[in-house]
Amino acid sequence: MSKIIRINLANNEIREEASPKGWEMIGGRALISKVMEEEVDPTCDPLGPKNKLIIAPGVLAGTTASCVNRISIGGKSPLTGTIKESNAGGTTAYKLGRLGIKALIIEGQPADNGLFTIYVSEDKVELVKTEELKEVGVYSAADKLRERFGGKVGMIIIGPAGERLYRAAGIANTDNEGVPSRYSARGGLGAVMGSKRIKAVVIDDSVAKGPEIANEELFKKTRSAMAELIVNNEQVANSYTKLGTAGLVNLTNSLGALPTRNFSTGSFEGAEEINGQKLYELITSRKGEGRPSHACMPGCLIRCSNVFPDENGKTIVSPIEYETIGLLGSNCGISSLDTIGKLNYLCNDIGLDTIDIGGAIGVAMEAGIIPFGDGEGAVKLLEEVQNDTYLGKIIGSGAAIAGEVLGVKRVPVAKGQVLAAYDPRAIKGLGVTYATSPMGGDHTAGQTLRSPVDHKKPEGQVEASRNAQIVNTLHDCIGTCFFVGGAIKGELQLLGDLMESMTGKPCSVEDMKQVAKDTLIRERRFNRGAGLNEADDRLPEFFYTEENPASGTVFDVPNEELKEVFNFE
Amino acid sequence: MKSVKLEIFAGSESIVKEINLDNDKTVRDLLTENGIDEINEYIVIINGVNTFDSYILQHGDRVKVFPAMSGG
Repeated sequence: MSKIIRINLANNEIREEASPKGWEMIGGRALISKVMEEEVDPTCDPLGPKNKLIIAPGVLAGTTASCVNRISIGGKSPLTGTIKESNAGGTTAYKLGRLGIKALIIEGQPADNGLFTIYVSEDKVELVKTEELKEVGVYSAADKLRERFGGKVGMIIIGPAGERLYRAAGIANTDNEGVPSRYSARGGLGAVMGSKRIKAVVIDDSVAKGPEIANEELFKKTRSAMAELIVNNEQVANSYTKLGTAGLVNLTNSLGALPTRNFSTGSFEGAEEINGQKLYELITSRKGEGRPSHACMPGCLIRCSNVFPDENGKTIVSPIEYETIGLLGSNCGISSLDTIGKLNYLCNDIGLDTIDIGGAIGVAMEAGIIPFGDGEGAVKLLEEVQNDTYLGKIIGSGAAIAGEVLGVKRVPVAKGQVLAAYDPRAIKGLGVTYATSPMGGDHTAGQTLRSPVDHKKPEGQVEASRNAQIVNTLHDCIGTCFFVGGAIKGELQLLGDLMESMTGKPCSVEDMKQVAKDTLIRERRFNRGAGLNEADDRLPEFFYTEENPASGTVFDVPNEELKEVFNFE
Repeated sequence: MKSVKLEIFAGSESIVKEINLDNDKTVRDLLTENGIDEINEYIVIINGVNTFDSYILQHGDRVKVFPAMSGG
């Protein structure tokens, strides 16, 4: 990939640049951190003209290996005030990779309140006025854009939430079937896109030349070796492929780590109604459009996504993921997959992060706006968001703001972002990640569930989180799905071989880890420049003082040890 | 005699067994006898605590075995 394209909304100028020398191994999250450090004032207003929205596929994007086409979208977050990279599957990284585009950098801000779409193809990049899409939901906007630009384009879209600058607004990417539900959800980047008055980026790769592969033979050999490991991996077949990420519900519930009723406990009496087995049973018995297994990216052999149908076999939403079940389900005391599916669809259509909104609804329940377990009430709250009422605006701002406005003391956020569906008192390595990651409360920043530590003890968690943060960042930089590591049984050198096949230069696991470490260091530097310091690397106080009754633990990794997470700085 | 409850969550069905133990056994022994060799590819939770292969089973333990997963 050789091109970087800049779109400046202040003067509607579009410029194409060659990728800087030495950036062969720099893609995705690494690229975002470099551009942010070199070009964006860390003290800038995240929703002002000085912030940039960077869309960067990983280094392997556009190829047909399994699990290598994740997209990274980044900028300064209006939710956390930190640098942010939000990662998703779908087809947009693949299509950008096929067009040889290493990054789209969206800069400046238009003087008026127009609404634009960026159209990208092999022949041209142009800014198109799409006023008619103002306040249009994500699904319907995708249909309208397809009518205009053709059925096979990939799309990056925001909903009304992003246009209205809601702090919990995400950015949708289309999947293989063109469904806009693969979310770069976290950190309010939808609001950054909205602040630049960009409704969508449409990517047309119909006449693309495809990615440049330096060593085709090595690429094919490595792709086959990976495919062989993945398709013969019984654990992958029995977990991710069959149950999807919802397979985690039983596991976290057994550890006392499944967020329940605004993180008041870690075990949910309705878990059996929302677990992977129940999801599989409903999908397979309802038939119709339902699919228990579905690929979110071109070429994916893990296929952990799904299509969830209603009783008549019509799609409610695709996919339902574990984090959504944890935050919009158990965290709200809701034990119906149908209700969770409906809430998930509404979030996707309005353009919201299901994790932050699940957190915000949980907080609203704790405030007594509606009772825990009130699924219908939760749907009504999202309709308030859709209708942009004052209560809707509060929920759409995410849990940190909702908690402040509604007078709730127990607000499960780190750096202003809702924690994912693992209670940090029951899986303490994730607590360390939530507290210290430059991204704020984010499980994909350093997942320790498989780390060889006793999750309930404080010992060893800093090291577990450090290692996980490096490996997770590695995946975010080269554009691979985090799940591929387990699927290829930890043979990460295969990813190094894929990198070598693309760049023509040998690439060891250590080389990839160095890119990840450098990225984390740059991100932390940016955050310090933005005014964050060690005091921000903490969890909310109630996790230290209030026992999670299901795990019998509080978060007790000492603050002194948290300082050591980035000891490679 | 010691007995433990073993639950293996694999795919859409779970296997539940009560198992009597004649002598001291580790988790690894128990899993191997029940067809699971690649123990590192699983997460084992005993009485709510994630546990490793050398743990010696105690009477009344509830052993839950999950394919190792890592996020959603």
